Amino acid sequence: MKKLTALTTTALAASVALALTGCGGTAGSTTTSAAADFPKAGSTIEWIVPSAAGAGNDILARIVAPAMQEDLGANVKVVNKEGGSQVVGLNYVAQAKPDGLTFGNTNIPSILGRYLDPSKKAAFDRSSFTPIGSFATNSVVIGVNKDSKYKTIKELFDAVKAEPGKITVGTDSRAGDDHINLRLLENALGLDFNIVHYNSGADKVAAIVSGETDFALGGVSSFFGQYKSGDIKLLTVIEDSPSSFVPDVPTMKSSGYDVDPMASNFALSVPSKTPKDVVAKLESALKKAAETPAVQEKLKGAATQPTWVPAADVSKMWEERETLIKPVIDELLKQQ
Amino acid sequence: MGFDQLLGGLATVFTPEHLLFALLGCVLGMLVGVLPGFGPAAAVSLLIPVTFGLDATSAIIMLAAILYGAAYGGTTTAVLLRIPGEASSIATTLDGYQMAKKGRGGPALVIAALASFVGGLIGVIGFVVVAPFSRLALEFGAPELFLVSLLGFALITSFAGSNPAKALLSAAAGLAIATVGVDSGVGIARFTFDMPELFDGLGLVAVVMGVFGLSEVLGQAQKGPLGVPSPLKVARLLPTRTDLQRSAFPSLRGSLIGFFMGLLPGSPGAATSLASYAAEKRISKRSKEFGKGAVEGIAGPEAANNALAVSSMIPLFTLGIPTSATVAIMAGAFTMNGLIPGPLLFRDNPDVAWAIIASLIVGNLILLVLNVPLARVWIAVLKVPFHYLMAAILAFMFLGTYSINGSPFDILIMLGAGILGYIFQLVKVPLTPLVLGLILGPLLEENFQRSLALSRGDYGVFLEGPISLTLIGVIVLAILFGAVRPLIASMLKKKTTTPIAPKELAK
Repeated sequence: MKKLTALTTTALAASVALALTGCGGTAGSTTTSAAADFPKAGSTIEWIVPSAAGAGNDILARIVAPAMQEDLGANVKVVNKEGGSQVVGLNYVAQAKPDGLTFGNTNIPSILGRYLDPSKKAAFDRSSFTPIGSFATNSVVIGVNKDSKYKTIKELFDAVKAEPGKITVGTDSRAGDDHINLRLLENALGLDFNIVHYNSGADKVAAIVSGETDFALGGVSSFFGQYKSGDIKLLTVIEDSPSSFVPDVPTMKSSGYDVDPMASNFALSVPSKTPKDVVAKLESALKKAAETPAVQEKLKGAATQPTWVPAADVSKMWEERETLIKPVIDELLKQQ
Repeated sequence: MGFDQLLGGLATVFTPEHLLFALLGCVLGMLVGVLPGFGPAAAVSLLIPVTFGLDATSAIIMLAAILYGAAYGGTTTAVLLRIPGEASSIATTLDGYQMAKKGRGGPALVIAALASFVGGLIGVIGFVVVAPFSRLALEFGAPELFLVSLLGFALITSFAGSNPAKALLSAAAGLAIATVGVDSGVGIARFTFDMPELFDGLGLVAVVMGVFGLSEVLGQAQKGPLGVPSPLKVARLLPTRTDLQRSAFPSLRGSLIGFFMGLLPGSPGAATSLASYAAEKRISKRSKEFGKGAVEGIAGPEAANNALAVSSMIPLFTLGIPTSATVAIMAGAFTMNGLIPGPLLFRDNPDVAWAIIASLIVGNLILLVLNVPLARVWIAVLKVPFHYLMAAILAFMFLGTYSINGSPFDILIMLGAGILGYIFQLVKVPLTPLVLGLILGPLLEENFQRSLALSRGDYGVFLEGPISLTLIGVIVLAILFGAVRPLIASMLKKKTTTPIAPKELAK
């Protein structure tokens, strides 16, 4: 009897594990070729998030997915495929069956760094994906410690010019968005920073609050809490018009610097051979979800701007950013 | 901030709704802790969308309970099966499993629960006392963190067993495994064989499960069905008075170590509980019993582990900065529920902030009450004949490893690590230094690179400031007392024993 109890306990725990991790596998048939009946009621669509559970991407996906699910009448399941600086998850999406049952985050510009760098061994490029739209943007800002001697972006950049390579700036990772944006900025304005890499946006922010680095560049969401509490002062937002989250922060343009806007876009894509009408159906579901007031409120709560960009515009933006960023990445590779 | 507000918070928590969610979080956290691989971070992020409909206080109370509840649950498999449910339970496998083998699994689990409770409680008291000064933790920048990781290597001597050379070999193997992946400072791919799965290095949990859990299964299998008294004898459930007396001070010391390590950016729970273990072994009069089933070796690390789970939330509450991946998910949970973690939390929503802090006490109490009777249930697992149990353990380990990233590749890593651990055991190389090397290697390297990047190549950066100088002093002392003194002692011993040597040879 006692043995039996132990075995049941084990079995119970195992079934809980299954339920929690969702090892149930993908349900639904995948033979659908036309969109007339896409998605079949009760089928499961996988939203592949190429980062860990709890990362920024993941949290936003878990906000948007339930609203898409409601519109499509199918399950939209967020699946984390972490590893290889997102290459593992992106490979998975690029190589998935093009039936609309698999899509994933192809955030722009961060995806560019994954396939433009040959050492990352990505099994995809821009042509492997068809975008279904972008549901949110994150403006890029520059912040300093509240007691920093640099009160304006001009003071900071003048100091950089006076002592090239001395002023330190933190990034969230090597060859990530922050790093690439900093290199773009250096090229555009003829500056030279001492770029130091941290392991995450949080570590980068901590280094500003403690005063270990002189300034930091990154998405406004990563600075939001410290900006609100006054621990970090934002000097500029790299946009043409002010951000609604930080309306009092001057734009780069208004400070007299001619730099292209740098916001990152939370774009989603399916494998490129997915039928057009299936793509259209997913696009309309994503658009509806992104425009749901409750979803927008949650996105804003995460300091992310709900902004709908249609699939066609995402494709265009992707191409433009690729042209802009490719030389920067090539240059980073040469430095190794 | 102070104890008045804490009492106010307690009053808020004592509503049926908040208590229910605290209980729910504790139970979920324990389950997650028991399941190897599937960690609290993943559980919290899966549940964040579920909490949208709840009131923010309930939601955060539940999610926080999952985090520290997992610290209790991870102990269970560590003691019973030598599989650390979480990486931070590695230290508990060392003596906990030995106690279980001797039929003292019950006392081991109960002591672990009691020590965890002490750790959690001291964590909360420390929270209230230290929170206003938490900014000081930021004084630990890259150079200081490098020195702290270097100091961590001094711990190896405590896990060396009889042969220091073997311990060094094991640590070197750990450091070697830690080099796999794309280097974060310069971007060079090392031992990745062009496989994206290897770019981020080998997963700690997969390696730890293989090295400790699988190697044990293999070792038992080698002994055959008669190798172990099967099923194991299970003697008394509750600890003896002596067990309790021996655990009291280790729990307090462990709590302090865990509390302070939790404040540091990026300090890993696994290294902290091992540090507490090493400290107890060094202080104890019964250091010979360590590794053979000493209760001190459970009480210290378990208290450290839970104090860390609480104190690691302090930088999030007071500065809005999450210092670990797990706490970062809590930060996400705050913002999702319309709260901004950081100093503003105490200004704008003090009732919420204090209710959450108070819930840590209530949650730890719930976990204690749940865990003591549960020990009886868990211990029943040991009555299952070993050959059935082994099959179940293997299934668990495959499932758990797969669930970390949904990646079959991690299973291969676990299997490879298991074979390595088995070979190490055959030739009597201790396993803990390997894990220590694996944990400390990246910290050491990253902070070294970062320090030099900040100083633009000036090594003087490691000698600046009182914290660095103090740390260097401690490292020098640790080397002198930990390595040089035993070396001299053994040389002196050799001299006195030399005359006997020819006789030995003559045999």
